[in-house]
Amino acid sequence: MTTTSAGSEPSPTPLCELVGVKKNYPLGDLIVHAVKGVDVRIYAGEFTAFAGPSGSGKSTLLNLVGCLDRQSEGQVYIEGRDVATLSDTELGDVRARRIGFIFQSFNLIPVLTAYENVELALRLAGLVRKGHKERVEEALRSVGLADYMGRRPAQLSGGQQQRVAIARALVKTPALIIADEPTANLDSKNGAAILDLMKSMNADNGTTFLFSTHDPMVMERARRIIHLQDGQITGDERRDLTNPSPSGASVAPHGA
Amino acid sequence: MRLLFSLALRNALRNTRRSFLTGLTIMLGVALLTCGISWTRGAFGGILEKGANVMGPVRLVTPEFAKKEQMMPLAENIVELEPILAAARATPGVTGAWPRLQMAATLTVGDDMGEHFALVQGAPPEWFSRALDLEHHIPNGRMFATDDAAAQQCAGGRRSRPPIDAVIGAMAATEVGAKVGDDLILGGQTQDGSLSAIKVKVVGISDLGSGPQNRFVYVSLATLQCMADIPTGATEVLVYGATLDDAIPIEAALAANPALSKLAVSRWDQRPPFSSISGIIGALQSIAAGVIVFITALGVLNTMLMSVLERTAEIGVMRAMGLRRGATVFLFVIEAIGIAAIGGAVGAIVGSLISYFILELHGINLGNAVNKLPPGLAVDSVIHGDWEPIMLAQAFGLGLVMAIVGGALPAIRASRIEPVEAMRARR
Ligand SMILES: Nc1ncnc2c1ncn2[C@@H]1O[C@H](COP(=O)(O)OP(=O)(O)OP(=O)(O)O)[C@@H](O)[C@H]1O
Ligand SMILES: [Mg+2]
Repeated sequence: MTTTSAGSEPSPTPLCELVGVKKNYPLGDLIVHAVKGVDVRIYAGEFTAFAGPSGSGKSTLLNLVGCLDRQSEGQVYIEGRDVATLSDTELGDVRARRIGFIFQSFNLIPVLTAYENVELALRLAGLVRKGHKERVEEALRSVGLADYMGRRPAQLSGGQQQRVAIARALVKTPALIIADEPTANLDSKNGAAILDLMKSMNADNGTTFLFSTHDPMVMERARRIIHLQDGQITGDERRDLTNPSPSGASVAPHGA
Repeated sequence: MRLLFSLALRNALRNTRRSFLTGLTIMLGVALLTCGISWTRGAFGGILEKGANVMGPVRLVTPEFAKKEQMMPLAENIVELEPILAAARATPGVTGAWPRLQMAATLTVGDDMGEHFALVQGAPPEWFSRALDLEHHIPNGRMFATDDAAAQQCAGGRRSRPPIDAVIGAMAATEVGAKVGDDLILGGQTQDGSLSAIKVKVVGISDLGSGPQNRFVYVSLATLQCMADIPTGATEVLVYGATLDDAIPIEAALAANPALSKLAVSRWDQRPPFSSISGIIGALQSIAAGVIVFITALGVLNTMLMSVLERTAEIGVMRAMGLRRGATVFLFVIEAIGIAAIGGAVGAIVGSLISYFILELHGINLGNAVNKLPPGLAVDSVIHGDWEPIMLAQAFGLGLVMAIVGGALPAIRASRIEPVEAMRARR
């Protein structure tokens, strides 16, 4: 048992850390064990995918990391803070300001234009400052939608809608963007384009992405893939030497 | 805030069919409310006005009469009328003061001693004119003439001639089978309790439009003075102002007048049945309005709840992005109010048009139903609405209340949607 002290530890504080996390859902008389004890660390700058078959607990884990839900057991730390110690309001603030969300079904507000959808995220996060208009426009420009700002979601293609969703997540400059199967509702060409866009944002701005998928094309593009099966981690592969985590490749974060 | 407001209003226009139905519900509710309020105001306003006129806006009686009023105690009369009438008429605001006698009597036509009872009212013709407009409500025959005949008959000597005139209400006439020109024997009591009867001639059959009013027999004051053996007095003095509202200052002035200090002064709305009725009418109106607001709110609730369920994912996303519970409630309540503003405006206008052009100008004929009401409630067969411009605003306001009441529950339901719903959403 030779534990290195924090001072001499070369790795930075993880952006997000799960320790012995379990999540149970009551389902009638049954209890569904969706996540059965997961230990994982996500570091700033990562581009990580949860991969696994349907029902393996990908979305459930993203919910926990994204502060959308609370775990049944174990600890969840976001930027060093134990979420169990945060009130609902504080958790809401973390969610609104520090985390961006991208969903499989885009989930844009249909009555708002692309511009307003992005603006709404800033407003709800309480991040409207002088010059926010430029910020919204810049976010939309960066996803290639400079000419579509006044359109409503119904007037945009699926790929374009997901770009608006990316701009909406990005505009807050969050610590972490969580994307649940962001390409599942897109054809492979659009899916690849969306993924490349996310990847370039990761490379250019260092935005941390954590997403889920069961699409091999998506996994190909991830730098780190955490394999899930039945609510448990079955593998953690790092596929890129530029990985900002210095703890080495293919090592499970805890107890391995 | 502005974006949320705009979002709420755009949401209102989102499912046009559903919003149209919600708006229509509110429109119908508001229109119904306008018509209902207008009509009940007309109906009850009529009852109150008529009732007050018949009972006398302000009344002077002896304190003993006031105590035993239900028994119509003839003995407790005002013996010397003239100084009382003079004092009342000299009071500022008073437009008329008249004595009245009222008693129960049996009615007999020909030899057929029937079991028919009626209330007989005796007063100067001017009182019948002011309180009932009687002379214009005698479709068959004419108004009774002066007091002379009765005075002569009572003076004794040459009995029974000339004949004494009487006007009989249409329903009483039907019951006893009296026609114009028939002799009618009124059997009653004198003030000391002995039996007394008087023969009158039916000169007119009145129709005042209400059952109770059509069961009376109307004669001159002298006729009843003769029958009751109260030669110069009457049990009541009824005092009138230009409008019903004048009753308040007049009552105050009469009560303060030392010349009238031996008498009991009271306003119409202080005496039964109106002392209890006006409160009941207000309560009934509020209950009816409450029921309409509630039912309409249920309609709003139903459609708004559908919208909330349909938008679960979207609300979840906004909640995940930081939308507070309070703001979620705001979003849906503003949407409901937006729909209600349009529905309510149209409803208030439609309701007012119906109220004014149909209810107020034409009225609704209740037919014979009103004749079954108890005496004292003089309800016209044809009831007119009473619409006022202020009711536009009132009805519109109640439309907004409907929206807030109906929208509150769905809005609270929406605010309970957890952020995690954003992730579960599949469309
Ligand atoms: N709210 C819930 N109530 C009950 N059971 C749930 C709930 N949410 C998820 N589960 C169950 O938890 C398990 C993990 O679900 P989860 O949605 O995390 O899987 P997933 O890996 O995201 O699957 P998919 O690829 O189909 O999206 C499943 O067995 C699922 O049925
Ligand atoms: Mg999932």
